[in-house]
Amino acid sequence: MALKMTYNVDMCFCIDATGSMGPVISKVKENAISFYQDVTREMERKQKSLDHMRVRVIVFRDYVADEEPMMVSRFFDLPAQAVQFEACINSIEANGGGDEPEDGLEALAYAIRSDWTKEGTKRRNIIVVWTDASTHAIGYAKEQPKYPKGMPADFNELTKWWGDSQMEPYIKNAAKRLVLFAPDAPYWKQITSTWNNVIHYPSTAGKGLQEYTYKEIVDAICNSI
Amino acid sequence: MFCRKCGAELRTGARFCGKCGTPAPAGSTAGKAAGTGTGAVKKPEEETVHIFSSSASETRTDTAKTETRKEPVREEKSPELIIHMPETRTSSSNGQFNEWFSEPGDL
Amino acid sequence: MREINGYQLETELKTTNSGFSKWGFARKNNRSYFIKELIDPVYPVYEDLLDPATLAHKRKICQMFEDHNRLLYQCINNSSDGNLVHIEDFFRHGSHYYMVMEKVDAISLEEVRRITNEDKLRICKALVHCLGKLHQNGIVHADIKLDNILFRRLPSGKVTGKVIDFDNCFWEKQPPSPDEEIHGDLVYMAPETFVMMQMEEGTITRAIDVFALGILFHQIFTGRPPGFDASKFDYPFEAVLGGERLIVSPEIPDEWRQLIDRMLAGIPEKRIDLSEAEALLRGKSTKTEYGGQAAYLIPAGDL
Repeated sequence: MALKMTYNVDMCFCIDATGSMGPVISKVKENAISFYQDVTREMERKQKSLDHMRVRVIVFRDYVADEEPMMVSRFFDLPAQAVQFEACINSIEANGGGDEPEDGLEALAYAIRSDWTKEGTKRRNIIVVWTDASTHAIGYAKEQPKYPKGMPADFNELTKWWGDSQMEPYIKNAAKRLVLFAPDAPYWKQITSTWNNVIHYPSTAGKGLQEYTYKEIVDAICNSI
Repeated sequence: MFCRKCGAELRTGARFCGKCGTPAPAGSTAGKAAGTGTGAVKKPEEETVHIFSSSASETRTDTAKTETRKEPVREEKSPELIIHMPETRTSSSNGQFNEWFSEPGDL
Repeated sequence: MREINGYQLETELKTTNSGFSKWGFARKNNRSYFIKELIDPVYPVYEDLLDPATLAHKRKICQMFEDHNRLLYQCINNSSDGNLVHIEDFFRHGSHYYMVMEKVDAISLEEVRRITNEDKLRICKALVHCLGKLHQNGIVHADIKLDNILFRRLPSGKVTGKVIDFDNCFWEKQPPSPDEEIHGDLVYMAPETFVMMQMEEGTITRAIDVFALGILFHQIFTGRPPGFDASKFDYPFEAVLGGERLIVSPEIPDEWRQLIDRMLAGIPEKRIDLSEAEALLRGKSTKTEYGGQAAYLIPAGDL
């Protein structure tokens, strides 16, 4: 038996990359390179030491309006691949979008199905969503050519994917955390009122989350670790 | 959507359950996925359930349904439809983006 | 500020230092309280979005949680000799559960560093007693650490400690299963807790509180945890599992040093029980025993 405690954290950022999210994406880009140091410094302040951290990014928009409605990256090991992670973030451009709701629930579905680490005595699987819009119901765009097979048919099924203390089909209950920087609007508010292990930081829809500073965002993420 | 009384699945647009006749909840016209848009989701009445109180001589477990707002509960309004004119609807011209991102497959 | 079940929030609920729940302060009937919003489980309120089976499943989880915690909180309150923070209320409002506890006006860490030896001894004896009572009633606190002791100054000038945070409490006869995550600060983690997490087998008992209390007592007396080879290990439990004996500082009076040493035994069955610890301490006056000794200097550090 290995005698050392290992604490492994995987994060999946789901970022709404429609036009209005430009300022938020700029903020994320400014801080991408120092993200790892900022998180580990804050964790040390809390007397917690992380052994492994990985981050991946899902960029979502609108299956009806956009040609790239859903794009995903691999996991980046930090700090070893911090430069690649920064390049990945810097390549995101805020554009597109159709009606006000976007397809955030499909992004969540992909996030839940991430290839989460199985290593570590203690693990955290954290999904962070950044959006200034409400979401369509899941399946709203299922007739679109790019809509994938295997997506949950409805909110009920997506809720089962998220799981609970007795049912964890894709993500371990004790390890999972969902941090929502999203408006208090459908279906984000329904998620907060139905799923466990969710913390919702409501944004003012249309203002692009500018009321949260980078430090507040890092604090929010670190509080979930 | 499902009938609250017998659990049978309701047809899109159904006003009554085909099995037991119970009136369907308002908003069932929105379709199976409980709203193909975003607005037709009924806001639940906020209730308070007391489970334990150190000041009570006996623990109360009855449900006290209390309106937390003075105005009546009403169906959630659909958010205003805002059509954004996208700057571009074409594929990303950012070659670097495609170096890091790919379309996810089926689940 | 909003109101929740008659509690008028004085501050917005925040997640800072909370272990992923939201907390704040609230007033009701002219009294201030500490209020915590739990994020697991969540009661499903959007009935239209879930099928009957899912609704029933989630409501059952919530019912079990309510039943379990109602009894637990009653028992915690009944166990208290005044040194456990009082649980005032536990309810569900909408989809979330809330706990309300008495608000303790705690002194700062700076002030805690300057407490007298007499206060230290009194606090340690009180903690042995109150946690011992909790154990006698079959409850394990499971998150004993410095942050979960609120120190307050009484009108007499004496300092006492109150134990807070019962989120990780469990009935000793129904311990967490090996595949459940065991929360708690790694500095205070007992060796058997780590073994259970790592091997996903085994069990934990009240002895984990005793280990944590031993670490805490060492901090109260000296300002730091007991010593171990920090070049090889990050935490006391790692050192113990690595075959090392934790070094209890000679600064600490002999009787307490021996007690702390027994509290830090690696094998839980060999660790002293708090009722035995209290029996050892009973009848020993802080004044006569330590009055003639040199004052303990508290180095800058954790305490």
